[in-house]
Amino acid sequence: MKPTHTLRLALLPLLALCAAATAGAVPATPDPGPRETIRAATDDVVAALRAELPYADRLAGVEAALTAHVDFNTVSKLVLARNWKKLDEAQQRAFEIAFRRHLVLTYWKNAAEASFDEIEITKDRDEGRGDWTVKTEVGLTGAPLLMDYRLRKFGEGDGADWRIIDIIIEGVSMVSNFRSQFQEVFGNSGAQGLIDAVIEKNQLMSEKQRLAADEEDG
Amino acid sequence: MNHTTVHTTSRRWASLASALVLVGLLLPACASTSGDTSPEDPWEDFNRGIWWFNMQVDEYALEPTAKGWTAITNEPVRESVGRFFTNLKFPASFVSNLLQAKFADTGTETARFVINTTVGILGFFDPATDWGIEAKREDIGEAFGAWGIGTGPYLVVPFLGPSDPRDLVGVVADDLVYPDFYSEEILVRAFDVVNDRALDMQRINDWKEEAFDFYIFVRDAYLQNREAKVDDFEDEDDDPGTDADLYGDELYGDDLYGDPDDEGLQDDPEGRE
Repeated sequence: MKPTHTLRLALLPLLALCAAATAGAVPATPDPGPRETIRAATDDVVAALRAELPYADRLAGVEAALTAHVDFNTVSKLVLARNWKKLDEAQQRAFEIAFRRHLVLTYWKNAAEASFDEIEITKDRDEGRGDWTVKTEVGLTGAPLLMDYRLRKFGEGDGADWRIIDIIIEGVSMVSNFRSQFQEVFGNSGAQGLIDAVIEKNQLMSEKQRLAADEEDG
Repeated sequence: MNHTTVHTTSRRWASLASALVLVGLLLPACASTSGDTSPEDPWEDFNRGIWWFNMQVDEYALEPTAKGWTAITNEPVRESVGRFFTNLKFPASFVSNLLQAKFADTGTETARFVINTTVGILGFFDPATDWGIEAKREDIGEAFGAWGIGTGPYLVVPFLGPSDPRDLVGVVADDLVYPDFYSEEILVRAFDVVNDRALDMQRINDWKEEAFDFYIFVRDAYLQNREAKVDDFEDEDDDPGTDADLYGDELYGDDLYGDPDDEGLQDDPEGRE
């Protein structure tokens, strides 16, 4: 099998998920730039975070909002790097779904800590190779939280789409941080062990977040 | 009194000297370690040992003390105490900004120190930020980094935590210009650490519980954050090679499947198609 086919096959489930998540929310402009993509993504996520709904529904909203703007397939590959091809297709799909949930929970946690009242897009920069970085500052009183997004352009012409492939918080890239941890887990417990570990952490985090959210709601 | 001052100062110079000696002893050891560890952490076995020790200190001494402190104070008090200690670190920030020829930032930090020490009552409050004079904090390790001095390998220091040879020397240099508390010195430092732990209680405990490998989580976050700080979070000067490593699709894409010389193929029989 040629590598391009493998790539397309791996993309199929994600495309299906994206279509499901964004049904009825087709972007108005055909080719928004990286800044517009981040503006739309942060607006969508903040709206989902603030919705007057139970935790599980709000989390699902955040997941849908992020899925519309983050290329979780590329993120999953970048995070596993050389280990990606050691997973069979079913494992790749399982990892991608579990890790997407993990990133959503991680995002939720950071959102709960920093007040997402105000997000200012401060700068953007061409990284070459079709990548772009958009820098933002969250919460403008005192020391703002520095959150940068790395985006990659997928497709050409009218179908071109900027999608997030990494989030860098205070200079710390999520791709790099998870990659180094996953290398260790993969080395110790293999592909299935890694997938199980991600699922286990997801359960732990969502349970804690649900309790905290319930407490807030009274 | 005078005698004590001399004593404390000479002790601090002695710590700088010992840090330099320690770094001098450790650096050559780098060459002799095996290649199966990650390149930025050739001393991983040693570091994990110290890390384990530090985790015990945290579990049995630091965290319980910080919990006690949390029980008898409220958040505004802890934040005030945090600001007080941050204000005391002004001399190191002043020196570091100066060493990097950041004269405007040196002035800003000086203005902040004067305002916060007086109007802000010994630094317990931060009117300077309210007036739009925002912090330009630097430490001396960052100045070393700005001069182009590399960090050297990752190094976990007992009680201090994540560091590296360059920044360990930086920390000791910061210490040389820290105000003198005479015989209460250790208590004052411990108080600062306990208060910081209390301020970050939830976040640190979450990290410990949720990380896949807490040692690696902290190592990667420390190294990345440190590098970003040296660049003032503007990485335009970065070697693009670093980015290519992190985001290049050759890591999982065509090259990986196609190139038989790729190291990824050797331990994976299924990779040969």
